[in-house]
Amino acid sequence: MDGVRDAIALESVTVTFGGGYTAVADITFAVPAGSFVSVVGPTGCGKSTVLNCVAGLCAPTTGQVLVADRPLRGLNRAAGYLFQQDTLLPWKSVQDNIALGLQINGVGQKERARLSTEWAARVGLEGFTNSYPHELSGGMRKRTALAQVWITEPDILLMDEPFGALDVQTRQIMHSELLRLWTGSGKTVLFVTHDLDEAVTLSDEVIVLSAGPASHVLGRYPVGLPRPRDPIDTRMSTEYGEIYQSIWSALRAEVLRGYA
Amino acid sequence: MRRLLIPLVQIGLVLAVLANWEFGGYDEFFFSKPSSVLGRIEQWLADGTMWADLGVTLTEAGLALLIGTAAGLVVGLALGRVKFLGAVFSPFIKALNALPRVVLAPLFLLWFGLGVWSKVAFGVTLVFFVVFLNTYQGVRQVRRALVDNARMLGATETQLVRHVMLPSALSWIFASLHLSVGFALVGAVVGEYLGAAAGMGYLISQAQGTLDTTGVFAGIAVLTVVVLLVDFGVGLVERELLRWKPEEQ
Repeated sequence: MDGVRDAIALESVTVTFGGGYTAVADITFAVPAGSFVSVVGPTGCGKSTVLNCVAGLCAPTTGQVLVADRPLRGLNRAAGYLFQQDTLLPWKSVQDNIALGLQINGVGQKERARLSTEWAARVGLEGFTNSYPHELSGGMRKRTALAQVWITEPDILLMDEPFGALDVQTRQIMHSELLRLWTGSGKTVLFVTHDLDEAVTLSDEVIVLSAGPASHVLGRYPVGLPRPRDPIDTRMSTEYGEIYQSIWSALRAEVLRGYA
Repeated sequence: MRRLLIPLVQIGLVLAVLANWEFGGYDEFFFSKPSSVLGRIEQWLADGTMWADLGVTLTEAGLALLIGTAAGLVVGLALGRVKFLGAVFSPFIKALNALPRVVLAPLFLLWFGLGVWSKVAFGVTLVFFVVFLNTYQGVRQVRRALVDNARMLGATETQLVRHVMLPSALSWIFASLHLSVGFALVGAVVGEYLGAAAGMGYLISQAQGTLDTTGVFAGIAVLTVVVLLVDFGVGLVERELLRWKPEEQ
């Protein structure tokens, strides 16, 4: 990504589905290369639709997505996608799941084994490489999925409420692990969540979407907290509280509107 | 206590039925006797005639299972994966599946003769639909996220089939393997019964032709034991291949 300022740019992206439902309207924002940007918004505001457009899984009805300054056609080959749902293949062991992307891309057996063993260790799954997904806890399955995406070393990581299904403690541990992996990696992260706490803790910038339908960008909030961050310590700081408050005051009205 | 009681009661029931059959004074012409049936099986084992017939039946069933599974898998994958093909062909397949397969047996006898292949064809029509329907379901019900995830990791259509669709369908097919194996044997035996020169169905039909009730019962008994053994084998293979599956219940 040398010489590219924005890894991702959305230009007036509008997505209208077959039934005439407009999920997002006129979304414009950019994600600087190497930064961690979160998109928050009330449930059903089309956050995932935005992410799917950047992934190339869904094409904008009007507007366009630029990846490294080039208009995106088809799937985004520069991006890895960590889904909200469980996406591990139940018939593959932890090791084979981690190595799936390598196998698909034609990496040889030996190299695959070496890298996937290394990655299993990096996400704390040393003793579980031969286990099947159903034998793991929710947190371990997410760590496997994280390793599966990260092992292929994509420039961009797209994350769709990846820790939404985890309990609070496990989620906090995953935050630390994600920051540990990301720090110094130079990767660009676009992170979608409805959890403002999570967004502020992890990100350089938080983008707030309005309630759907035809949801649009309500505001962009830089998070100037020092890095490297420890998620727990970060939440204790006064700056954190101030940033959280200013974003929440914008988000609150939308959340209430979403429930109305 | 209960763990011991259940098999004891089961054995007791079998013995009671057999004893009643043996000593109940039923007409031997119509019902034969367990002792005579056992004697006949011993005789078949001693002169070795049964093995050849059993071999023929198992060969037919095996071929029907192999061909029916392969065809069901390929057609199921194609129709499940290519929406156009699925929309065009699924009504025809439903119509064919609704057809009582036994009525095809006379046609197959005419087309493929009295030998092995008419029975294989008959068995294939039974096995094909079990495998096809399971594959079709398996492919169409693969979770969207699994497919999207594999595509984001760079999977081509062929790799999607290999890593996601096929294993997903296979788990459904193995779940129905007991049914397929049973159908393959039914196909072979019924086919032989309607017209053949060898096989367990032929043995039974010969016995019926000479009003030999003992022979009919002996054939049935042998087939039952064989099906139980094959089913046990399928269970072992299944347990090995579906190790990744969480225990149900």
